[in-house]
Amino acid sequence: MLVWKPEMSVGNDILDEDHKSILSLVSLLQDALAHGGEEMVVESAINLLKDYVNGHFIREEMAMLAAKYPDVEAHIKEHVRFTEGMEKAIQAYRQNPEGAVESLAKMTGKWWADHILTVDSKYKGYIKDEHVDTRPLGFLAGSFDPEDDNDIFGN
Amino acid sequence: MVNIQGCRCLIADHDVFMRRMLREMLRYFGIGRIEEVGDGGQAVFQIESESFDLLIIELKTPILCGKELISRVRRSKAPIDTSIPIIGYTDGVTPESVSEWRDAGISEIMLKPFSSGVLYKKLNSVLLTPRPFVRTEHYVGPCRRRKKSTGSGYFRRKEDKELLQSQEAKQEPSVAAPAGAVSQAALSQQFKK
Repeated sequence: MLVWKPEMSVGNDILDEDHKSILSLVSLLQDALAHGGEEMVVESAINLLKDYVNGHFIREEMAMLAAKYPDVEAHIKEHVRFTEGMEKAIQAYRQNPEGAVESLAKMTGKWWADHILTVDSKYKGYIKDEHVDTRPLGFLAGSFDPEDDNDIFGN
Repeated sequence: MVNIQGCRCLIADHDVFMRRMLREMLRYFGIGRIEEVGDGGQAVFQIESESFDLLIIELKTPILCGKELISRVRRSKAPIDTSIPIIGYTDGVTPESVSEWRDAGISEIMLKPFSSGVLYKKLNSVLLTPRPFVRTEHYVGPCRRRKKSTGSGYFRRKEDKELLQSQEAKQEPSVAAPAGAVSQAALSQQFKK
């Protein structure tokens, strides 16, 4: 199980909490894939992970820009590469759930552990608390689909 | 009315993966005070032992599920807030089951799989803009009326008013004066002479 460790701290509690939640979700996805979790749970976990990653990248990129972090461009490119890679792994899994399950699980887990330890750790010391938007991720990302109704009372 | 981030929530679901996922979904909106149980019996025990602001339940959870669980909470004799918002979710829903849950006093229902956006809409509905709470002999729960009425008095709905007006228009008689009848104006003139 992928767990957050103190050496993964990037020096800001909010960003650390984001990382903890993402690792927890990645672990959930890996466990659900490995132990025959319901397809609905796997799909929901994938969608929630995408929401979390999107929101966290927004928070982190805004903080790096506010702190005038010198390697912000290279860091953002890493985010873009991960987002594209994750999307490909998800599509491969949806087309062939049994064949692609291991690559989806490994891709998300390995990337996050490496990224936090080797890339995010570099902005430690640059980003201060005042640079970080503290709103919950759900309000930061704010990308709700108005068509996503799920309203069985017909409101 | 409870602030979303300050909310203390109880999740009841037999599926451990679903509970873990809901926990992260709630944290996505800043709700960090979360307890979990695996069945409806434990849910009732927890609700009657500790104070919660929100109950989120799988409607087919074992021991005590759906209608029975909701009713137990709404009609509990324990010193608890029986008006606690209850959000239920499940799959394989029928109109009959929806009516049962609604009449037992559920606040909102979500169909699985649901997104974080759907959950947020339900949280907003039950925590920030809750419907009035009703307590009668036959029903305990949030007001089951969801459509807003326009106007006041009897036949307050716009549709009712339009129907009433069209019915009145059909019933209005067109009366012709009988032959030989004298008009009121003519009579008045005769008396003035």
